[in-house]
Amino acid sequence: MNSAALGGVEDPVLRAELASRQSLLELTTNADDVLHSFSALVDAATDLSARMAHPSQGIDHSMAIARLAEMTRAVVDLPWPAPTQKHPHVPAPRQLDQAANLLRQAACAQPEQLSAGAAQRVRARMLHTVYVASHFVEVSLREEVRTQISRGERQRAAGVQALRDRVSTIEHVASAAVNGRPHQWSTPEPAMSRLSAAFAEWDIKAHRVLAGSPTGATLEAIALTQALATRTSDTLIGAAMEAGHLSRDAYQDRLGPALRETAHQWSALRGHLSEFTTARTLPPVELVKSSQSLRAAMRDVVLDRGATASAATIAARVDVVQAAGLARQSIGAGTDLALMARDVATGSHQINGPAAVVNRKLKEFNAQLQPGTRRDPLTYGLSVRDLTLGRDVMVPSVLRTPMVQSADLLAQHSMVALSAAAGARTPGLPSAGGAILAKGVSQSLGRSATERTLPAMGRELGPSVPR
Amino acid sequence: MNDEQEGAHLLAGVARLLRRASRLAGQRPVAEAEALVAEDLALGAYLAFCGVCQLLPEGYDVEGTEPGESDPALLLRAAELLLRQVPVDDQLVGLSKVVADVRDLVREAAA
Repeated sequence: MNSAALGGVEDPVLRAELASRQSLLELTTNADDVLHSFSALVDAATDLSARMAHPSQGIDHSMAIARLAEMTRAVVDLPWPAPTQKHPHVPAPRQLDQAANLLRQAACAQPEQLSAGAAQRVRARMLHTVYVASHFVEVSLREEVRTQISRGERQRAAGVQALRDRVSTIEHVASAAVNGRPHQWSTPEPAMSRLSAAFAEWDIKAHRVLAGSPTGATLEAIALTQALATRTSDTLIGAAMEAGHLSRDAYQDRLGPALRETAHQWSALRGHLSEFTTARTLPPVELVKSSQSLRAAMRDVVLDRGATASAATIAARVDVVQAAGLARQSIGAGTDLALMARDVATGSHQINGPAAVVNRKLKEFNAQLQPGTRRDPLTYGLSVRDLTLGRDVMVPSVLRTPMVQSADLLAQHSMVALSAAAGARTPGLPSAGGAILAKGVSQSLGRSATERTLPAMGRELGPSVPR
Repeated sequence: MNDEQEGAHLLAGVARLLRRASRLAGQRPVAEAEALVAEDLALGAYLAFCGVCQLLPEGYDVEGTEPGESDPALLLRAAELLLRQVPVDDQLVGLSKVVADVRDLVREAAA
């Protein structure tokens, strides 16, 4: 193999890959420019792949790149009904252009002399470059849709959204190709149905794992997701109130504060759990995927360029009456999850933590005890082997106390939010709370919501929740 | 240390940075108006952490010295820089998504 050819090809391909990563920090909202630059990049990748003498082995990168080039050309060649507007202050996507130039440069450096292994490596890197670039294009178009919606340019926004859907498919194909799996075709869904489906799937997955053998990591993943889901519900219901679909008093005096306190308690529970969770026990992959889908769907509706979207923006994206109805249903499901989480935190479920952390915390705990106080028997349960081998050990009950208190507060605030949601019923919106309070929904643990004990409900709540 | 071991070592470092960024993003006191964004960042960094851990060999121990930095944005930036050193090849299925996810988080944390 010619080593000059190897460096001459691999080095610019490596730099092209870095340039495509860099593009994600420099979002451009000129859809025309972004799409044409992406098309040029994919064409350059196709050309370089074709020039290499050795065919792909294993994952067929060259076929995938060629297919992506065809799909991109089909989008670029569309007779657009002038969906985009040039913004003179927005620079062209120079990182993508640079990446395309680097791949062209590599194509002139005798790529036909690369060995089979080097050709495979170069193709894998190019496919990765194309995938990252396709993600950049999708994110750029998403921003353009948002910009146009915020300007009231609904027709243009619909045109760019159609483009975004096409590019989203290209991104999915590229993602499947880099992961070496077949692409499953699916039609892009509107934001509202996507959110609804994501909430439903999350509800099922989270209930299932909590009812099974939950670990600290599982509970941590659920707490994190629920904190965001509860904040999202609050934002959606707030948008419905701003649009006049919900009583301002009912939201501002009771429901809003209860939801924010519930979100805060989910977050606090996560904080206590994360002191003991390690990477040795990760949450189930299915749960992680479901959380990813829900996060993506929620972001599409309630976030706007790194900030909470205004009520007007949310109303321009989705039907706020439907969204608020969905939020209220999720409050019901969230309450059940909160009660299950409390059962896990307070019950006999084993929650483990690293021996070193448990040891340190026990020492801190014991140092605070008065002389002569009886210590937790597990204080002495740690062995030297546990510590030296860095094992995970059971978290003793004395160290679980903050977790248990947090889970108790979470359950209480969730019930207040559920009750407030039921009380804030508006004609046309489905009631989340009423049905759940009446029947109970937790089939998974065999106990209904109403059968669970709610110690001190309404007496020990934080100051932000009205009594 | 061979390439595979070095790649795993780098990924473990990325995982620790993401996990710390997630913990800090979720626990930092923020104004009510910014809470949604903070929760989103905490979850995003945690999901990226899970994604990185899934790339590691079975049984690989991620645990090590916790990063000292306390700004989630800087931790994410550090994770992104470290991720650049992980070689992209077809043996590491799933790396591309992690790269895109971490880049998105860096951009959003800086916004």
